[in-house]
Amino acid sequence: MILLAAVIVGTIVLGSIYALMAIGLNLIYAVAEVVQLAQGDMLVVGAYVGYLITRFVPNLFLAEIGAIVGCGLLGVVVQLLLFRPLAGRGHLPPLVAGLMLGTAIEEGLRATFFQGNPVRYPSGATLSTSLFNVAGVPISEAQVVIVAIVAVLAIGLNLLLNRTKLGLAMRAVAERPACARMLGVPVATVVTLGFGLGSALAGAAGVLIAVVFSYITPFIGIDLGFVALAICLFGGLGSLSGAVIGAFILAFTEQVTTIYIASSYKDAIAFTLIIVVMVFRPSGLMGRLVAERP
Amino acid sequence: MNWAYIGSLAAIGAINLLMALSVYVPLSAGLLSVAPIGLMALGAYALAIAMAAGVPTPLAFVLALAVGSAAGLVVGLLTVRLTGFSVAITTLGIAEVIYTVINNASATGASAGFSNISPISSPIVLTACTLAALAGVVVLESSIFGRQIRAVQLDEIAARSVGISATMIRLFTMTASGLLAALAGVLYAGYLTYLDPQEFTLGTFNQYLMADIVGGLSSVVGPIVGTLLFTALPEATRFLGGWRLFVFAILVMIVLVIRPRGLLDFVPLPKVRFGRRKLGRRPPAMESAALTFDGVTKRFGRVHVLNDVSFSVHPGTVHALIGPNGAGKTTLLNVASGYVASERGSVLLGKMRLNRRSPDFVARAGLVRTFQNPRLFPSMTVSENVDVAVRRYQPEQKADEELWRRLQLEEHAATRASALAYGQLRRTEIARALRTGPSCLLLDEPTAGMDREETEALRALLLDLKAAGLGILLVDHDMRFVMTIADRVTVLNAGRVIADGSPGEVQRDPAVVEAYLGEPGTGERSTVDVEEGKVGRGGVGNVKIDA
Repeated sequence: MILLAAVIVGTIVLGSIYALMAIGLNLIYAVAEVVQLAQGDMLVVGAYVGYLITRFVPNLFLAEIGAIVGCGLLGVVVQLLLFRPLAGRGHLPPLVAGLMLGTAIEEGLRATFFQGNPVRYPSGATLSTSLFNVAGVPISEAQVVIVAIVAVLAIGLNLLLNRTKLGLAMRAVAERPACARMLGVPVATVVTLGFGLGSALAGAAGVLIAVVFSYITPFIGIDLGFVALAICLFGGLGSLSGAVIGAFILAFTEQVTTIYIASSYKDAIAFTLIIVVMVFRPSGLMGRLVAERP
Repeated sequence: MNWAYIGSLAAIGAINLLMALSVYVPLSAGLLSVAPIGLMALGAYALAIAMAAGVPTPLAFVLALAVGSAAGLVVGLLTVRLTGFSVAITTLGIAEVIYTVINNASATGASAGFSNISPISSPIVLTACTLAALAGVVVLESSIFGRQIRAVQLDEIAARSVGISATMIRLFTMTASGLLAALAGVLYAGYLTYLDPQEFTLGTFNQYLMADIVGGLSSVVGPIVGTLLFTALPEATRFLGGWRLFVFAILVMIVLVIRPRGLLDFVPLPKVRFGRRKLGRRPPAMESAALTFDGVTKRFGRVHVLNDVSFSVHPGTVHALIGPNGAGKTTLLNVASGYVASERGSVLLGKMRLNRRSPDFVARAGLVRTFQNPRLFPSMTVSENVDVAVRRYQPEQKADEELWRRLQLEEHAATRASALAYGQLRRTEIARALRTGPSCLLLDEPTAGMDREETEALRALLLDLKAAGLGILLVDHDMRFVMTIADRVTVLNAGRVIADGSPGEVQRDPAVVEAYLGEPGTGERSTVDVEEGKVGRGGVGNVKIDA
């Protein structure tokens, strides 16, 4: 019973971080029509930005804000310099660009930070993982804070998308870019900002992952990118609510596998899910991809 | 000169080239496959395990190649229905599964790797294998099959419309990619004599991909030059130290943005060298066959786009299909040519059922179409576009100068399709359709975008084709053209056949007048856009409906 409670708590924590990551990826796909294959590496950039900040000021909230701003700016720059010029050239160039960006980020971080050896946040900037009981459910300070941060971000994102003019413009561009342009929406700018927002969410997830994993290397991004991709395919590319549902389902599966089977099989879940969904339901489980017709 | 060092560089270069080719072959069909890195591992480990089990070296070599090719075919089968980025993502998953297995299974030595492999990759073996593989790719690329692979890359729908089986081409390129990757893996294992699973990750794949992107995908010269560059560069850029791959990745991104077709953009598409290149077409209507629609029904959601549509297009006739916008004309063409499956009813060419057949099968059966928006291969010339439609070269074939003159294409033969005007695009598309030697032709709005002179030339051509026994199903909005060329007219409205007969009968049919001009007596013209000043009284002869 305690074990089940631990699984549920773990699912909520991990699932909320996964949701951030996957919503970011989906937002980029919806607005910019790009499957950002370097989203996992963007997350790692966030984790390292957090690391840099906590080296000087050991405050996790500052690290979180720094990672959001840093990755948001990086996303804007990457969209302007790399993905915008590639738009309209078919599906291959953005995919290749994502792979190359991933290599550049991994190798750049490896060369900058101790040859890629694991780094840890200083003790003042981490959260206690010792468990205490709340009505018989074991919970740690770290878990409470992470879920709280994600909740705040989720509310903020919801307000941004539904209550602001920029959010309205993003949703319009996601659904009918040509129509949005005719109505005077500056589509190119909105796409850039959407890309930045999606990247900022990855950065936000990066700091939280650093807390959960307790260490980071430049290479943790690949598998996390897979996780994000699997979630998006499962929940339907471009669907934000699908990403949330998919994130919690995948997190739950991983928790159960780790606790009841073996943790070495955990990583296989995401890409097995990718293959199964793609092969048997090419349009995604709740997908909206449609075949091309003349 | 340190010959041992140069030798090792050459060996690594040869393996790099094989991998660059393994990534290049699917790319030339428009597929980004990450599977090669996993298939390279399969080949390498298959050799190592087989030799450790005492299998004789040549047998182990062949076995490893067979494993790689078979795995490539499986990758092809798993991804054959997928389009665009889905192929990349699925193969990424496949490569990661293979990596996870070799990194954890005891048979492969898990993360400790596999050592003590016999050194079988002598310089002679390496050179011979690499040259053989390279020769294979060059021959493939300069054959008619190579042209078809490129056609699938440029526009799969158009390629299928002239009978190219994109399915077969995708399976073939994925299998060939698996063979090349396994060969690279085998030589790699036999050269290094140990295997480290960390060498078979996405990071390594990206390095092979870099060579293809920087060299360019116009022809096999791209991967060759790219590989030379990336084999030599690490030596020339030692001063970069740990930043080497970072700098390379940035450079590749710059190339991707400012030279999308790679550094060797100026290298033209490979010329077809197998068989004599002849312009012209097989005589149409090798065996004349009627095209029959029998009760064809199709719904999109709750809307009946086609409702029990039945009529026949006989050999040696021009049969027009007209109707207001949204009547279902293009959908009917899509059903006939295999792009859309009907729910009920059948489409027959002669006695052959075409229902639920692939578009390329339909085209090879002799039913060939053009598109409402012309779909040519933009980077190919007019004559290359037309030649794509040929399945094999027939040296005895006579060039049909007459057809080219008729379609006013002879002076444009060497022009890239991307530089053509709209009417020229349409004429090229018709020439391409005829090049397949069809027994029945489906033309979707052939006169749209054509001037009067072009339209009259088309009329003459269609009349000749008709006289030669070809059946032609014509969808067009130029009523003057339709009513003067058609032997028979079928009128669709809201998915139903509302009239079927000679042009004269149809024009007098009250139901047709109603469909085009609104309710009788009310003067309402809600379903048509009538061309200014050309509204005829009591007939539809002059009515022009917008596309």
